[in-house]
Amino acid sequence: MSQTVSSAIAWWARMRGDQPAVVLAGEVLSYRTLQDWSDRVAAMLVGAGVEPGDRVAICSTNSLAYVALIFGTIRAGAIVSPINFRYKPREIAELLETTEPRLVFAGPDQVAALREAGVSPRDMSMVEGLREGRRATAAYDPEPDWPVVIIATSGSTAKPKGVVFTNRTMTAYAANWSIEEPSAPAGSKVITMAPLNTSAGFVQLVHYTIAGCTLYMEPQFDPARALDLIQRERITCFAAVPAFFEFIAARPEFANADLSSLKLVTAGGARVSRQLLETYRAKGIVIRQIYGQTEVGGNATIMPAHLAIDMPEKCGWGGAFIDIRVVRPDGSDCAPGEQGEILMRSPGMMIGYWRNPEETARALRDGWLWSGDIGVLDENGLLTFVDRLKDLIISGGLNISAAEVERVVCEFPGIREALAIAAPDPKFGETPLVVYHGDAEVDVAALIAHCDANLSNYKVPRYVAFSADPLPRLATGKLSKPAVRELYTDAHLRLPKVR
Amino acid sequence: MTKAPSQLRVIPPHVPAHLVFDFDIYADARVGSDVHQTYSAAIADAPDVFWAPQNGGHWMVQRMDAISAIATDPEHFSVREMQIPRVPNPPFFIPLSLDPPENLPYRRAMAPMFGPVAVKAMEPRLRAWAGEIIDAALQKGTFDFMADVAKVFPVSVFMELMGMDLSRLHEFRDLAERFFENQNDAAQIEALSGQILGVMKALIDEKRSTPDDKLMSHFIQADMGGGRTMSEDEILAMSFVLFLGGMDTVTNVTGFAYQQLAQMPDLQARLMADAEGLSGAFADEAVRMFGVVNTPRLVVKDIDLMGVPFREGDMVLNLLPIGSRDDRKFDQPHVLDIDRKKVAHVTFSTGPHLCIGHVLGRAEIKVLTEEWFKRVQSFSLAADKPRPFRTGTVMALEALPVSVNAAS
Ligand code: HEM
Repeated sequence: MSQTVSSAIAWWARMRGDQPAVVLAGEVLSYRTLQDWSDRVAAMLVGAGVEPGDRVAICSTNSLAYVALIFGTIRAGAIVSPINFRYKPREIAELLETTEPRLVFAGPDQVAALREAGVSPRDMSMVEGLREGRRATAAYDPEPDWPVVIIATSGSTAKPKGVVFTNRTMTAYAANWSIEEPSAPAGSKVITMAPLNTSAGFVQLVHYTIAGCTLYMEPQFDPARALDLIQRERITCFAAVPAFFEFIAARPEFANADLSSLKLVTAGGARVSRQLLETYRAKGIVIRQIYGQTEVGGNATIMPAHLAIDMPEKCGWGGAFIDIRVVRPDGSDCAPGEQGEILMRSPGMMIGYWRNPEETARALRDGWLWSGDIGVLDENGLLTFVDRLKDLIISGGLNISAAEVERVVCEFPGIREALAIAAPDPKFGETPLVVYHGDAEVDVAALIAHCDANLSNYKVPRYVAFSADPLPRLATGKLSKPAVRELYTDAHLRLPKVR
Repeated sequence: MTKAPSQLRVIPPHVPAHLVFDFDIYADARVGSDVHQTYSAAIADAPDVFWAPQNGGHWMVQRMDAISAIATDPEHFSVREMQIPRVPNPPFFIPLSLDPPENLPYRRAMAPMFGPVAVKAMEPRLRAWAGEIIDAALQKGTFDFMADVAKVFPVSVFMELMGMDLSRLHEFRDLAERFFENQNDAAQIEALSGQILGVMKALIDEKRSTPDDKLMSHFIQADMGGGRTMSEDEILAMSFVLFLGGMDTVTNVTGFAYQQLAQMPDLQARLMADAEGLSGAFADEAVRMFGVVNTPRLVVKDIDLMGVPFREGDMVLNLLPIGSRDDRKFDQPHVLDIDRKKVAHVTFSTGPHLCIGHVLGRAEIKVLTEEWFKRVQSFSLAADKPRPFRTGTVMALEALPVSVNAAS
């Protein structure tokens, strides 16, 4: 059992058996318990007929049982298929159609939606019940190249794509960061706020347990709690979107807070401003910009600390095992300063999209991952992220595919064309704003009800604007999103919030 | 890239069972490299108008009369949407997506540059390009007729037509080729469309300062009624439609026709003996037999026609290439017969959207054939090489490897 996620857990159970692997709402899961518990889960899964390569779907909010089920599934050689716990039955049904899981597990609040989507899930309490018990384990070992997870990502297409990682890619990802970042050795303490069904939540859990760290799982972001936790537990690693750092800095306790335990502080998803950098530098902390995406394994590059001080908005130059290029549409390298598509290559990147050879062939060409993001390298090879080619709205750290929102909105009777764009939102960073055109205004409450029925809550538009004129087009015949964005820059200030 | 076959079947309640016939326009297993023949054979037993439940479900119309009835009835059958399956926010092209009368001023602006007189005047340039391109291909002995001839010729013609700087031929050819090869890749298409429009924009600027008698200068000056001229966006949109409509079409009609001709040594000998006299008739028959555009329409008002209940929101696909092989209109419709009496076909559609470029398209094939047989004694399909193809709204031959005996 070499170079697998399970072999790393077994190692830490031996080396640091009493050290907490995960702390959730004050409840502690040690590496020894994690090892025993996930072994029992693996044996249970095998007993229930799960074979290597089968999918085990999980739809639940974060819990220690969820963690045990993830590592148990991987130990059994099966593939974890997390389902967003906010998903509506239609979204669940679409996902299950392509993943075809052998077993589905659901938290108490998710059971009804799964039933409506046409499956009969098992209860998470079944996993909970295996926390204690006799030693048991699967009779065989997983192989390094067996897939371990399918993570649903929102791309530019209306339907989500499933990113597949194997034992080998995930251990390689962790190895890269262990080599590059001596600031986060075994025993480090990491805060994670993302649900386990997201790429950030899943990858952080697996990465930092492979590395023998302790994860403090927070159910949601609360600046006061985060500040308290950092000081009380002497947290070493903290990653968040820049807005979160701003909220923390805005707390009155911030001025006297002792943040000296923090060794690795990173921000992604938006630019780190000079002002934000300075605010934290005054406390001896350098916030380092990261760039990455699910497909590359998570982070692809972190700005070196000594350079971040002068160029806070740049993201570094790749990594020990991670190469970065910026290219023109024909694949030739851009000159320094010239914008192009960001390409990456690393042993930690996905092996492809689940059952989607076309999208896989598009994303992985000649060993390089085509990110669909626009970036620029300076004369020293430092990357600056410019824009997403993929049309996403990032709300509270969750990616929303604009195309998916548009698809559902356009189904509503009387809507001829519609675009979803990001409106700024003080709480979520961005929130969906829909602009539509039709012969007459539609009943907005009914439209929102239609969206509510077909989309997860966070994807439902918060603003709706009617355009009596057809929406602006590009000369290619497509609707022009930039033109609509410009026309509606301040629309959120004028429009009522519809939910 | 081959598409996975569409598995979901959609049959709305208004569609009677006897009109349902399974057919996947993008990936039907019954269709082969001889696309037209195999396509016709696959649907030979289907009703004149039938419902294909694949790809979201849509009507397919295979008879010439039914096609004409639909193409000339914009009140019920709109061009507003042309995507199968339907997509949110479908693209909108000028004048292709405009129903009459809105499309008329734009067609009027284009028309003078596409009439027989204007096309005749272009012929010497077409001839020079055809000769040059064929000569370059012949250097190779065995070559891909699509990549080396059929794909490059219409690009040069387009550049001539618009009045573009021909020193940038290779750059623009490359752009066009990548554009048509990457049809399944939305991100690439977006990037490439941007580059193409960039070239067109520069051309507009150039022609504003130094006008000539080519199409772009004409667009800039054209009177749209009441002295109004077109905005830059309108000109760009029209140029883009010409780019889309004027290249892939000629490329693939020529390709399919030459795939057939490669297998007809007797016809080759006749053309070789009298290229000037017979190339026009060959071009006519090539266009009749090897249409490549299937035109979609959206039903915008309920109508029962020919025993078929068309309902608002239904998509309809007019199979123009099949209609031009209707055995009720043509004897031995699948035989390439250049002595055939000239009869109307629907390869260029009919009605308000009849192809603007039909005179030019035919002239390109005629001139290319004349120049081909000035240089080629005979040619045949290169043995055992695959000839991949694409179907859908535009049907394409992606490669046509040929072996050639040059004329002495
Ligand atoms: C032999 C080759 C060609 C074929 C088979 C062909 C076929 C067609 C068809 C079937 C349509 C009607 C579409 C519909 O009704 O929805 C059309 C429209 C059009 N074609 Fe062609 N075409 C060819 C060559 C060309 C060329 C060489 C040009 C110009 C350079 C051109 C420009 C156009 C334009 C601008 C339209 C839109 C007309 C309108 O909507 O009013 N085509 N073509």
